[in-house]
Amino acid sequence: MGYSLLVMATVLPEAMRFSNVVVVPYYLFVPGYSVALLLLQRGTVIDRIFYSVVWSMVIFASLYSIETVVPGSTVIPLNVIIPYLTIIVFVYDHFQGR
Amino acid sequence: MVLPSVPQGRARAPADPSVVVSVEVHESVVYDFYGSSASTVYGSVNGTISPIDTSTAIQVISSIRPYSANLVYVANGITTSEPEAPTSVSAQVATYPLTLPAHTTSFQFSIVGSTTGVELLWRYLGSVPVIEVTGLSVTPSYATRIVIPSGTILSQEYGPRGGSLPLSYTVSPSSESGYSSYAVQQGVSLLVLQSDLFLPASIAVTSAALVIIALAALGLFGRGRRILERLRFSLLSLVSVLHVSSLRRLRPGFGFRNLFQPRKLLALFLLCALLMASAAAIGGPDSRLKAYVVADPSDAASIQKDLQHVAENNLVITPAQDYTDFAVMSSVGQFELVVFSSYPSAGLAEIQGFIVGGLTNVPVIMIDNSTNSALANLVETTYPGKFLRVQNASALSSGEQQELASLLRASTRTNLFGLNLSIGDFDALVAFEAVLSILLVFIGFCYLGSLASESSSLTDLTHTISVLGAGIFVFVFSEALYVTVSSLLAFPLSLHAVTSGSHYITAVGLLGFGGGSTPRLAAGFLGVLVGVVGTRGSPPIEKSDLALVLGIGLFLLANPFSIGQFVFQALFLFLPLGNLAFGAAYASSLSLKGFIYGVGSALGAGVTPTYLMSAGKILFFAGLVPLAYLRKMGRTTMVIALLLVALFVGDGGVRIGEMTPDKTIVAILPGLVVGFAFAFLILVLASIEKYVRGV
Repeated sequence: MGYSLLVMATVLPEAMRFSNVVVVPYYLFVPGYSVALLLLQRGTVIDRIFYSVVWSMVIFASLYSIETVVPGSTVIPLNVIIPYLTIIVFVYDHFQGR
Repeated sequence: MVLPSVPQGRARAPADPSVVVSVEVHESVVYDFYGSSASTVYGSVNGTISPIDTSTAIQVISSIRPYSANLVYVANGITTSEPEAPTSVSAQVATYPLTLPAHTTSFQFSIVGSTTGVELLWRYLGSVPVIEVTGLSVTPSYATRIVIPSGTILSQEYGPRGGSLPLSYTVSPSSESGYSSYAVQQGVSLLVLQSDLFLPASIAVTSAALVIIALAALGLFGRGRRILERLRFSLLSLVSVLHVSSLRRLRPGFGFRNLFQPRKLLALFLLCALLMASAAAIGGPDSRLKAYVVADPSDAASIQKDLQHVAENNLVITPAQDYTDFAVMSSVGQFELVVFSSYPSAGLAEIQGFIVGGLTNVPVIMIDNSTNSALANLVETTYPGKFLRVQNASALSSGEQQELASLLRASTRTNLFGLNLSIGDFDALVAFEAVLSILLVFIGFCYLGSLASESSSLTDLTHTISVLGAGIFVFVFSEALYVTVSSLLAFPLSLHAVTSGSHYITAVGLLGFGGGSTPRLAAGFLGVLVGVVGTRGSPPIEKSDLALVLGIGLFLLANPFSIGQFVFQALFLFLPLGNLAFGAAYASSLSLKGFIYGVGSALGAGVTPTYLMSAGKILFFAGLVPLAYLRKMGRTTMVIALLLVALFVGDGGVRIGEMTPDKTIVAILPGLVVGFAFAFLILVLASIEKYVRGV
C-alpha cells in the first residue's frame, strides 16, 4: 500500500527531480498481483508471477485505452488511477479474509 | 408516380430560380425471417433557372441503382428530351454529368431505378437513396416520400451514418389503393418497418420467453429444483406406465463422438491443410491470363475481347468488382497484367490509392493514351521496367499485341507437373479448395473448443497457456495456408472486403459466397460450439441452463422495446445483410472497437502503416482467453460465455481469409490482453453465479 502511495506521489512536480525508475517494477507486478489475489489465482510461484504480469498489463492497457475513448478522462493521470484502484482491491482482499 | 411537368411554350418571364430534388420509394415490404428484396425508386431533380448565354454543366450523383434516366429541358422555348447514362457506376453511387444548353429556363432530370431492402426477424429495413446536385447556384430543396402498404408501421428512422433520428413523418393516402404515402424528414437514410401485428405478436413471444426464463431460473435454486424433480418423477412414472421408456433403446450410438478429442481434431486439421496445399500444388496455377482493367465500364468488355488476341482464355476483373483488396489479390499472383485506360475522374482518386502500391506484384502494366496523365506518369516513373505504353487498349495494333505477348511469356507461371487443366476442371479444383478452406476453419476451431473443454490433469495456468498457444497456432497456420494455397492457385481462396458478390474473384466466390466472410463466420462459430459440447469429459451443459440462456435470447430478440431494438441492430453487425450498421448497437461496436484499438496502441500496434491494427484479428485472440477459462465457470455463465466466445472467435476468424500476416503479428498480444479484460468480467459474473447457487 505504501508502494502505491509512493507511485501516486510521482504525479507531483517535485518528483521529476528524482529518477522514477522505482515505478517500473510496480506497474509490472503490483496492480496485477492484487487482481490475482481477488480471483484466487495463487497456485505456484510461477502462477503468481504470470498472473501478476498479465493482469498488470491488462489494467494499464485497458485504462490507457479507456482514456483514449472517453473524452476528458485524461484529467486523472494513470499514475493516480492505477495505484488508487490497486489500494482498493488490496483493502477488499484483506477484509474479505480469503 | 407522375413527375411534375416541365414548363412548355416560348420564352416567358422566368419564375424565381428554384431546384427541387424529390425521391419516392415504393417499398416492396416483405416480412420474413431473413432475406432481401428490391424496391422501385423514382427520383427527380426539377429546376427553374435564370437563362444565361452559356451552357451550364451540372452533376447529379445518386445512390439509386438506375434502370433508366432522362433529361428534359426547355431552352429558347423549345423542349428537348434525351436519355442519360451514368459515366461511372460503383457499388454505391452513379454519377451523371449533365449539360444544360444556353438560355435554358427549366429542366427536369428523372431517374427510375431500384434500392435494396432487407428482412430480418419479420421486420423490414428499407433504405432511402439520396440524390445530390452540384454546379447550380441555387440551393436545392428536398422532398422524400415512401409508399408502403397499409397496415405497415414506420417504427424507426436512421441517418446516413447510422445515427438514430427522432421519428417524424406525415401520412397521406397514396394514389395506389391499399398503400399509404409517408413524407419523411430530410436526412433519413434507413427505415425500420413492421406490420401492425408485430407489437402484439412480440409481446406474446416475450411473455413466453419470460415464462421459460422463470422456469429455468427455478432450476437454479434448491427449492425450485425439488419442485421440478417431483414433476420430472411424476412424468417419468407416467411414461413408464405407458411403456414408452422402451423407446430409449432406439437411441443410436454416437460413434463419431470419438473423433472429438483434441489430438484427433488436430490431426484432421493438419490433414485438411496438407490436402489443400497438395491439391493446389498439383492443379495450379490458373492457366488463364488474368488482367485487372482500370477503364471505363463500357470499355472493359472491348479490352477483354482485344486481349483474346494475346491470350485466348482470359479473365478480366475491374474496380467495379473489387479494388480495396487489390493489394492482397496481387500479392498472391492473381494478375499477370494490369491495364490502365480512360477511367471516370470522379472515382479515380479513390481507387488509385488502393492500386498503385500493389502494382509491384504485377509483372506487366499496360497504359494507353487515354489514361489520366498524372496517373500514367506516376506509374511510369514508379515501375519503369514493366511498363508498356499503347495507343488504345481497346484496339491493340499487331505490334503492340506481339510486344505484350512477349512480356507476358516472360512472366508466365506453369504447372509443376506439366498438367494442363481445362477451365472447367480448374474451377472444380478451386471449388474443392474453397470447401476445404471452410472445413479447415471448422475443424481448427473445433480443436480449440475441444482442447478448452477437455478434462485434463493440467494446472489452471498450463491449461490456459495450452489453449492460448493452440489458438495462436490455428490462426497463424490457417492464414499461412490460405496464402500458400492462393499463391499456388494464383487465385485467392477468399478476401476480406469484396465490394461485390462477384463469382470470379475468389475461390469461395465460385460457391456463391463473394469474399467468403459469412461461411467462415458460420464455420468458426459452429466449430467452437461443437468442439466444446462434443468433447468427451467436457463440462456438462444442463438443460435448465440452456433453457435459461435460450429464454433470455428469445426475450431479447422478440422484445418490442429499446433493448429489443438494440439486439436487432446488433444482428446487422454480424449478418451479411447489405453492410448495414446503425443505431445504438453500431455506436457501441464503435466504442468497443475504440477500446480494442486503444489497447493495441498501448502495446505498440499501428505505430507505422506496416503493422496496421485489425480489430477483427484482435477480437479472435481476445476470444481465446475466456475460452481457456470455460471450465472455471459456473454452469449458466459457461453457456453465456461459450456463446460470446464462439461469436468473438468466429467473427475474428473471418480475418483468416484477409491474408495480411503483418496485421496478425501485431494483433496477438493486444488480443490476449483484451481477452483477459473480457475474462475478468466473465469471471466476476461466474463468481456471482456461484454465490447465488451457494457453491
